[in-house]
Amino acid sequence: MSIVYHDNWEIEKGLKDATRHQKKIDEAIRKNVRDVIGNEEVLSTEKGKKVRVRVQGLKDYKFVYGNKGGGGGIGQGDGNAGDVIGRRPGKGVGGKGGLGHGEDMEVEVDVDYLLDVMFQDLGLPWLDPKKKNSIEIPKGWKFESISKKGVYSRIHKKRTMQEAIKRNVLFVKEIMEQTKCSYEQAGKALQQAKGDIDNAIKIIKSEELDLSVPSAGFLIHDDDLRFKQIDEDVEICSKAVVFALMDVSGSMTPDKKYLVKSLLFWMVSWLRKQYEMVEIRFIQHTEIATEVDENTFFYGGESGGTMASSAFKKANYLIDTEYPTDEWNIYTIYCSDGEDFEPLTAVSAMEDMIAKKINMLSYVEIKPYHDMFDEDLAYQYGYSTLLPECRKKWKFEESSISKDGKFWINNELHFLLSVIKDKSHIWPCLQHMLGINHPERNEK
Amino acid sequence: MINTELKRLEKLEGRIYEIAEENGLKFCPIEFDIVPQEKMFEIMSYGMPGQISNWKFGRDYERTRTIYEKMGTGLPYEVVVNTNPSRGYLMKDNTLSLQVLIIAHVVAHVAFFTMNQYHIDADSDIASGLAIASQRFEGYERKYGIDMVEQTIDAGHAIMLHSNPWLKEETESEKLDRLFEKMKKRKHDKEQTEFGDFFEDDSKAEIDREQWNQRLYMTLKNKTPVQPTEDILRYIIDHSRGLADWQKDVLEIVRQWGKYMWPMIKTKYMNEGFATYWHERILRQLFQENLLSHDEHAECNYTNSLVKAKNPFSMNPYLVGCELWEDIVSRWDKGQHGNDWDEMEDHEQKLAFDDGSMKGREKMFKVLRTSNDWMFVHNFLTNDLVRKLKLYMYVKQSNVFFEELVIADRKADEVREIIARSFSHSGVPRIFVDNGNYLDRGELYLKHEFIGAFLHPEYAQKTLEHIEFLWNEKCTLETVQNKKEFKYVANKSKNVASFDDTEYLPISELGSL
Repeated sequence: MSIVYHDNWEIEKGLKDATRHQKKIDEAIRKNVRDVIGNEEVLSTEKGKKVRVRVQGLKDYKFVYGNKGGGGGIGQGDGNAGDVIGRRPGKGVGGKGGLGHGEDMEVEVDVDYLLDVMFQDLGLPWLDPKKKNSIEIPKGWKFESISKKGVYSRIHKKRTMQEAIKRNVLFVKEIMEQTKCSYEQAGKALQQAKGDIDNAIKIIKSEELDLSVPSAGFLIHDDDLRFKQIDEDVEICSKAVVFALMDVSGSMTPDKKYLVKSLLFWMVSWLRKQYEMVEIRFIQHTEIATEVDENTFFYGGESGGTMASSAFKKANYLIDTEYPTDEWNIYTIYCSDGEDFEPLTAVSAMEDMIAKKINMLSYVEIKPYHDMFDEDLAYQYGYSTLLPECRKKWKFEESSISKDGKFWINNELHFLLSVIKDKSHIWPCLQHMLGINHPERNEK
Repeated sequence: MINTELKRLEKLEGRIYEIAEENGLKFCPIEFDIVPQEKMFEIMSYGMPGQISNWKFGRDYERTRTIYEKMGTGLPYEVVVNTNPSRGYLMKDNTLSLQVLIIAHVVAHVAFFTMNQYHIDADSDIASGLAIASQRFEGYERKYGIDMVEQTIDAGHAIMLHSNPWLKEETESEKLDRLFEKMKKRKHDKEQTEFGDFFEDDSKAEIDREQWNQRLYMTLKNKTPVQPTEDILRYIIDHSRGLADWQKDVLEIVRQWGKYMWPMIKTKYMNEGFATYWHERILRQLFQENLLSHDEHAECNYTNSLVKAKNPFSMNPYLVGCELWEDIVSRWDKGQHGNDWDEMEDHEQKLAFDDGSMKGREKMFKVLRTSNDWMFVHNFLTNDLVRKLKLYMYVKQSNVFFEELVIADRKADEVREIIARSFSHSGVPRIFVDNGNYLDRGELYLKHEFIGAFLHPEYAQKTLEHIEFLWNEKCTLETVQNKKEFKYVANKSKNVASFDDTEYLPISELGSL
């Protein structure tokens, strides 16, 4: 019966096991990256580098009772039958129902980390850096290289001393080996011979060594001198521009725009990892194209006809005037629901763009209809005009990588046609967009 | 902690023991350690100092720390370890009154461990056993890789409660002998049986009997397990052909931990209620004896009200348990029990009845010695108490926009019934190893004793996969799902159970994490 009080308590396993748990959570995020990227919460943190994502907590599996609905139980307090005692947002349409057990937990994750995970999962090696167009920007001057000649004001003291020490040690060793004298004697002999190794050996052999010479210190030879060199400093800057083109006619509902936003978010985040500088130009169009800011692009709305050609022409103009292709890597993503008035004009504008040798052109048709996978129906009702024209004009291979959404690829032109339906199609769409740029994928 | 404060705490501790003993509590020696908060969180999450290393404990540790950061100080964290001597832990930064409350609470817990029959056989040396094992396991981690060790521990944890710590442990051959002795045909002894002379014993009968017995013996011998066993881990450790020796070592330790935990789980409400009942009384007496100041007692009362707060989503064992004890004592003090009282028609009259028998305390200790939570709730949770505690049943209703928890029922007798049922076998489904050589292929066949509630499909499947990892052969679990017989199957090549009911998602979808 006692109370013991002392201060030397150690945390034995808590931290180690907490780290281990964190690792398992990371794995969980890794496995769920597909769900995570379609998550609204990810997009709402626009500037921040960190996003909060919900992942299901890891479960301790054991035999338990539980019915489908789960989540019922016994509680205590006031209230009558029928009263609501707790409420939280539902999982939305098509979401998976909760199972009651296993808590969800919120985890803060780096966008960069998510990107790493995504692209590791893709099995894509990083883009070949040689493919990046880059320019050199002068940044001033820097001391970087070292040479044996130079002016004394720029002598590199540390390197010079290093060289001297190195040489002295080697000489002493050599003397010891040749004369079998002691370390101290060899040092003194070298000192007495003023650094000349042959003389030093002679001194010892002829027993002329003066033991009163201090043995400390090194002699710096001319050969040991090192000088800093001044160089011009340049920064290699690789630049990319994303042209985000979108049809904003009445049929582009907020739902569809959400998908566009999600796609662009991840595309741009990824490009930001690849290039030092990434610009985005937002171009919306009805019958005419206008360049707008991000907010208007995603949240504004206009009515009118649909002519994709106007947007492509606008982008082409910008490429010609502001973004020469030998300096800029150009990515164009065009999003629409496909009801174009003049598909042939649009196709010819696309052709112009491709001729400029841009890095990628991606046409994304957003079709939240149940019959979108039925091509026959699509043709029959003719709600998509641009896509069939493109497929007539160029040769595409239908992708079989993913069953979510439809994708046609032309690897030569770096041209992707895609039809996507909901959040879960964003991931495969990104997979294709990034894959198209990759030579290995192209060979397949 | 200041020295004078420690002195005062020791004095109070001494008086607490005295008060407890005066009231008839018996307990083994207790050693208290005052630890910094981080250490406290670790001990709380691990359940015991020296506990083996596993990510689950790490997760709980992190969670406890986070909750503490959010909620701040003042929460009555308590840990008590049922060893001999018992160990109690006090958090360094707590105020003196909080420490006193926790000491009083812990003393009552230890009394419970000492007096309750379900705790009597507890391994009093488990803490040091775990500590030594956990060093050994570190070696296994280095030698066989953390993933393997972790997977073994996880699988063990999944089924550690499937045992009966109160049965005498028998090996399979001991069981075989016992069963054979029980079932074999004997030569009837004329003097001993009333109708002995009916059984004319001749040599033919002798031979028949010999043959029958031989057959019986062979039949029993060929059965594995000889008799369906609830102790899944024991059976797996002894009979699995896929376990390395170090894995068996790990599982033995996990099984010991399960055996330690079982009585705790089985008596959670009784135990917490008992400790709360007594810390209230002890603190009151300390205050009356002027050992606690007015302010300190007020602080204790405030903390006590937090401990006994009603929770809209679950039953609070501190509150419900304590109220049950209060009710038992008060009813037996007044003689409000027995057939005569039950059959009284007037409710008012029933509540006012008092024969002055004052048997409350006596009844309390009787119940304490012999009961577990299931009996406790079944026998003593009355409809009046359900109403008094405002207990209700709620269900989850979800639509596209919301998931709502809605009160479904608060009729006392129905709620009482549901609560009582939920305590059966402490909510742990009873699963038996039925056959360890199923279809003569070395497969494991498990049977769930169906009592009306269905197993959670995802959990059942994943747990069976844990078992399969240990058994290393196909495992089957027979149960009832959706009112039909259903078999869960875990097989390395084919880990997906085929649900005939499409309402369930395929397992691969369910276990997306």
